[in-house]
Amino acid sequence: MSFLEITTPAIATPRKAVGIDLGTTHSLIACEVNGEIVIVGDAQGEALVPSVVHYSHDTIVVGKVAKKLFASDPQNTILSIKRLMGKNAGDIQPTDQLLTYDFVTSSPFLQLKTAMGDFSPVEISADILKALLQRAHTLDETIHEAVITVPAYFDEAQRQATKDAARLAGITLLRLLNEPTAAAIAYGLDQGTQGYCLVFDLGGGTFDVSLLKLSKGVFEVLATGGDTHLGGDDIDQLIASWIMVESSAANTYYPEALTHARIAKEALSRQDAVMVSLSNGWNQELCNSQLAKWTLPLIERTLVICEQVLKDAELTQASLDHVVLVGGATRMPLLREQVTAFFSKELLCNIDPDKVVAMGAAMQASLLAGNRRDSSTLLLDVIPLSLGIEMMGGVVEKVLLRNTPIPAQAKQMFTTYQDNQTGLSLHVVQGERDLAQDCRSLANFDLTGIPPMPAGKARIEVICRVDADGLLQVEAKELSTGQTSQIAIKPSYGLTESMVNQMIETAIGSIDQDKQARKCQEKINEAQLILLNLEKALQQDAGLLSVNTYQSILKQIEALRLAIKARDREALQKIIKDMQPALQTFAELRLNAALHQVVTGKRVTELDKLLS
Amino acid sequence: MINIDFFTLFGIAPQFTQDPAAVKARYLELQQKMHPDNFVNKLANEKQLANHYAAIVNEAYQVLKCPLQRAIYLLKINGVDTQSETDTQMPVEFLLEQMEYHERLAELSDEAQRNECAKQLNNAWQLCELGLANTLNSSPKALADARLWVRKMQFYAKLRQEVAVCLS
Repeated sequence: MSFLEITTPAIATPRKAVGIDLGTTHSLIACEVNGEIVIVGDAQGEALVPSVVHYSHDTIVVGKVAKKLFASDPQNTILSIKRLMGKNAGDIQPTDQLLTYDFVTSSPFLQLKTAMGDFSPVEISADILKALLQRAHTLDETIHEAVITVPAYFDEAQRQATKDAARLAGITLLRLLNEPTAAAIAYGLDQGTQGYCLVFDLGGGTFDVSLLKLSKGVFEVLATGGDTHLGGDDIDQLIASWIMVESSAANTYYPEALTHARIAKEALSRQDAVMVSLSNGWNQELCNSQLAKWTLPLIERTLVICEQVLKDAELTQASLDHVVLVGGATRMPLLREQVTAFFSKELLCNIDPDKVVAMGAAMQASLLAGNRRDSSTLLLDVIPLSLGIEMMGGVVEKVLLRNTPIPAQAKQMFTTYQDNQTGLSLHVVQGERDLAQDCRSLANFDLTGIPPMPAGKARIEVICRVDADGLLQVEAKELSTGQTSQIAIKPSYGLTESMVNQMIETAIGSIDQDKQARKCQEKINEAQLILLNLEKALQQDAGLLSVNTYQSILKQIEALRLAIKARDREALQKIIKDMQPALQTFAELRLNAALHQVVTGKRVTELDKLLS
Repeated sequence: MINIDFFTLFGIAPQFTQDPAAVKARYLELQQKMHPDNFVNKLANEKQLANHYAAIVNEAYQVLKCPLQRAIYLLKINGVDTQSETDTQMPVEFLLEQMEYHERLAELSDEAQRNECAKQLNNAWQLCELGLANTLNSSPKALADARLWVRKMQFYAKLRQEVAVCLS
C-alpha cells in the first residue's frame, strides 16, 4: 500500500464495511454489495470458516485445512478458542475435555503452547479474524472496518478481549454487536419482522436469548439471558465420551472420537440411527432415543433461561409475536419440537440459522459506514449482567442492574475511613450473586491523589460508564476539592492495554524504519480524519462558535495541514493535543444544539437558558 | 454536559401525570439523535460525548416511564427527599395494614391465594397512584401530601416484589 493512496481523503465516499460472526465452531464474514448482503465464501464457495487455527513451526493455517489437521496434530490445532476469550489461567476447568492443548503454566495470563510459540486467546482469535478479512479483500482490498458479533451474554472481559483481537488483526471496529440482536436486524430489515420477538440462539459453544421489540426500524432489547458454556459442542462431547467408553479406546483416540461425534450428531438430524466407528476397527450403532437422553437436559436448561428472560421483560409466551431460531444447533429436530411446544408458536427460521448473525452484522456495518442513509435504524441494547462494586465484607453493591439499556452510567459515592488517607482501592465485579467472590471480577481500581483530610470527609464520586459496545470505563473525582483522582486500572482478566500495544508493535515487523514510517502514517490518518470531520462540522455549525474560538480553530486547521504536508509526527501530535479544548467545546455546542432540535417548540427559551 | 432536569431534557411539563406514549416517542427521538451509532464517523470528542448524553437519556427514560420513580424524582427536584428509610411518620392504620399483608404473605399456601393477594396489592398501588396524581395535579405545592403517597407506594412496591417470589 503506497502512502500516496492514503493521503487522498477517500474517506468521504461511501465505503465497504463487513460484518463478522466470530463463532465458537465456525465463523463467517458478510458484506453489502450493490445493496445486497453476500456471505463471502472461499474459492470453493463455502461460506463457513471453521474457527480452527493450526500452528506449525513457520505457518499459520486457519479454517477447513486446520480442522483436518486436528485428528493428527491436536496439540497444535486450536479449536473453540472463543470459550477462552477473556479468561485467566485460573478459570480453566480440568473437566473441559475439549481442550486438548497445553497451557503455559508460568503466567497468570492464559497462553497456549504451540509449535510456533505461546499464544493468548486474543492472538489466536486475531488470526481467525485476519483470515476472514483476507476473504473480504477478494471483494475490495481497502476493507478494514467491521462490526463483530459477540454473544449477548458475554461479560465485559470477554467483550474487551474480542475488541483487542480486532485491533490486533488490523480491523477498525465499528461496533461490537450482540449475536441475537444481529439476527433480529436481519429479520427486521430483510423480512420486515415486527412486534415482540424472542431470539433463541444456540450456537456451537454459547446460548443466548434476547427479547426485542421491533417497530419501524427501532430494535429495542427488553431483556437478555444466556449461558456462555452451553451449545452444540456439549452434545458432541457427550457423544465422544460415549464412544470412548463403549470402544475402550486409548485416550489418544479422543480427537478422532470428537470428529465422529459431530458427524453422527448431524446425521441423526436426518435419520433415526447411525453407525459410529473408529479407525481401530470399533463400530456401534447410535440411535436418536439415546441422543435424546443427552440432549433433553440441555434443552431443559435453555428453556429455564427463556422463562427468566420473559419474566425480566414482564411478558408471557402469549404476548410474543415471533420466536426466531439462530445457530447451527437449532437444527436438531428434538430441540425444535420442544421449543415449539414451550412457546406454542411456529418458529421463524427462513433465514439460514448459520448465516443470519453475519448477515445482520453486515447490515449494521453498512449502516454505520454511512451507506444506508435512507434508513433511520436505532438499536437499543442492554447489559446482560449487573455491574457492582465490592463493599466492606465482600458484599456487592449493584450500581447497574442487568437489562439496563446501554449506554448507561451510574454514580456511587465513597469516602475515606482513615485520617489523611490519600488512596482508595475499588473492585468492580459483574454478576447477579451477592458476594464479590461469586461474581466475575472485572477490574481493580486504585484511586490516588486524594487530598489529606479527616476520615469520612472526602467525597469521592465514582462513575461507572458502559458504552454501546458493553465496555466499561471508570472515572473518579474528589468532590470537596474538585480534584480528579488518578486511576490505575488493572483488569482482573485478559490483557492490559500495554500488552496489546506490545503485540501490535511486534506484529508490525522488526525493521525500525518501517515502524517509524507506520507510526507517522497513523498520525497522518488521524489528523486527516479530524480535518475531514471538522470541516464538515464547521460547514454545518460554525455559527455556534464564538468568533474567537472559530478563528483559533481555523488557525489550528492550517497548522495541521502544514504538519501533514511536512509529515512531521511530533508536530501533529502536539497540534492534535492543543486542539482538544476547542474540539471539546465544539462537540458540546453541537450536541446541545441537536438535543435542542428534538424538543424545539417545547419551551425553547428555557432550554436556551439552561444549555448555554 | 447536561445539567438540566429530566423533564426539561425530554421537553415535557414537570408534572406527575404523563402520557406514556408521548414520553416513549420523545425517548426514541432523543436516541435517534444521541445514540453513539450516529457518531461512528464523527470526531472522537463528539462520539464520547454522545455516549454520555445517550446514557443520561436512557437514565431519564427509566425514571420518567415508571410512575413511582417519576414521583420520587419530581419531589427530589422540588427539594423533598423520599429515600430515607428511617421514616416512622406513617399513619398507624397504614402500618397495621402492612403488618397484615406481611402475615398473609408468610401464610400463603397456594397459587390462588397468591393471585388474590397480588390483585389486592395491585389495587392498593393503583389507588396510591391515583391519589398522588390527584394531589399533585390539583395542588402542585402540596408536597408533604405527595410525599406520603410516594412513601406508601414504596411500601407496596416492596410487598409486590415479595408476593412475586413467595411461592417459588
